[in-house]
Amino acid sequence: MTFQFESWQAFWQMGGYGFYVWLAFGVSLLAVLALVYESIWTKQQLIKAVNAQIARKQRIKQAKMQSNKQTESTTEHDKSEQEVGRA
Amino acid sequence: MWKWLHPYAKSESAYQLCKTLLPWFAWSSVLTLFVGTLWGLAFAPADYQQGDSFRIIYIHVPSAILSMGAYSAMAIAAFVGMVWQIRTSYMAMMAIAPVGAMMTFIALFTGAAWGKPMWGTWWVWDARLTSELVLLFLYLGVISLYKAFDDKVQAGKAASVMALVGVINLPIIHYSVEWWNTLHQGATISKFERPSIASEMLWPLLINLLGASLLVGALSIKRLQNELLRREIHRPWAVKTLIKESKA
Repeated sequence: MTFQFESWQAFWQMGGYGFYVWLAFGVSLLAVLALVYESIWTKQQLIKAVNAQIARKQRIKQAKMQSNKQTESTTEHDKSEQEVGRA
Repeated sequence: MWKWLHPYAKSESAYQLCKTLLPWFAWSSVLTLFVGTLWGLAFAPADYQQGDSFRIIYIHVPSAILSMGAYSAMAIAAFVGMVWQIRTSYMAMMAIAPVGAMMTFIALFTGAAWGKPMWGTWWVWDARLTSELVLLFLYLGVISLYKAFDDKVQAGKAASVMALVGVINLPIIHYSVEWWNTLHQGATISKFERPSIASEMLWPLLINLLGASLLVGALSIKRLQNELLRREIHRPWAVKTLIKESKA
């Protein structure tokens, strides 16, 4: 098995077909890389989404706890008002 | 007889299987494609008629074969999904579709870049070229049909029907060079007799064919993993996996 070209320049020229050969190989490489990149990027987006999902659950939990406290305090307030009214 | 296969339809075990397989497919495809492409570009002898332009064959033929191979794989996944009602199978179908579309695009593009210097034109409405273009549209159709439904079970069924109907195009592509008078040359390596290509030229082609198959496998596996996680992002196993893998 021998290197088929006399020089690197000849290799890039591809016997005059350089443009077509390198165009075909280049675009194919780009197409593959684009899909590889997209597949990895999707995974990153999923990681972001799951973090957002966890943060949202925590916010809902906190909001619920806060509103529970508030309703407790308002019911106490109502009671005291009622008591005042009765008196 | 096929009972042992069933646990793999469970999303979590499918994900784990993909995780084990992915590095093998990915690295072996990088290695084989590197060796095959280098061999084809620099060490294989030039064609006596086409000179060095024939070196495009080393991506054109593997990608064209794999564009049909990926379609068969996608159609099998669609069939399994429809017959046995396996959701994971629909996900596999949708994981393969973009990879097959990419292979079809590469086959068409490299064909055009080869056709220009050899036939004097980028494109002709010839049977082989047109049927391969239809294959690209079938892939895009399957993908868009799936995306058009919000209910992904409905989406899987609809896209499966389209994928299965499109199988008719595969023999049309394969035999197009025999059934019609075309500009495209006939089969070179997929012949039952000895292939009509010198062995010094054939080896890198076979290596690249193996590499392209491994590449389709690797990308499909990666995309199936993504699809499994996306669909089950509210399930504990997916949340756990994503958190674990974001730290790694």
